Amino acid sequence: MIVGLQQLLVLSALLFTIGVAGFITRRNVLIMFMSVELMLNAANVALVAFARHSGSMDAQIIALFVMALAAAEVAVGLGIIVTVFRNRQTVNIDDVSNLKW
Amino acid sequence: MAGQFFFYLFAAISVISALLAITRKNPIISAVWLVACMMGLAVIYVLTQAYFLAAVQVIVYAGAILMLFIFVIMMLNLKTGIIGQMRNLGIKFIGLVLTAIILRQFYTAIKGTVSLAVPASVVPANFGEAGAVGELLFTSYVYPLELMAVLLLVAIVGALVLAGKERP
Repeated sequence: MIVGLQQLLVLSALLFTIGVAGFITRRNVLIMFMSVELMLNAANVALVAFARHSGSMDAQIIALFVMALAAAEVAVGLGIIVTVFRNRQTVNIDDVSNLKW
Repeated sequence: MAGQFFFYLFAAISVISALLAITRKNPIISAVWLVACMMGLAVIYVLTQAYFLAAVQVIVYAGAILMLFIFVIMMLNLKTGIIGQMRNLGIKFIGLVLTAIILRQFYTAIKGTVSLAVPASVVPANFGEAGAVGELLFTSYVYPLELMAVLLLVAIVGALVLAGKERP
């Protein structure tokens, strides 16, 4: 018994929307970053759903690449956050809205 | 029908933990809720026959990415004052309106979806298992795989350059 495509897409849409809401309404840069992870995961759920429902595993490979991409993105992103925190003692996105100061 | 039951159970767990993750003030608690969300999604992957991806989800997302988040949050050693509150009410309102618009768009996109599920007899027996994924990864997708290796190397070097110790 497999889960219906529509149910999986609804789950994916809900997770993506939660990610967008978190990204827009929060100003802690760490939580904004976690929201991006949530959106990537929502995309993965949709990919896995389509993989099973089309009977081809190509979409699963793409989901695997998305995970590798997320790992790379987190490494660089957290590096940027650490550097900004070292220089400015803040994780508030509104405090670092200037490109140069 | 056990599959349906587990799907709804773990989908609810994922969505609720995701909601809790983006509404907590303390980033550590957010990260822990996000771990719960990723674990729930791993179960969803198992139910959709993506067994290898489910394992990778637990190892890479819950095990590596979110642990990295928690390490960094602890390293930053945030004081309560700079943990950061929500944005002001106006921006929050605009954000929720935008979110509602996106949800509406998703609704129109998904509404008419018909499940075109391939019957289980057509799907190969090792669908989604490590062997099948690896075979595909090293035949059709070998160039993207190598590119991904380079990307990860670049990310490691980039993170070291950005966050490493200042040279004297």
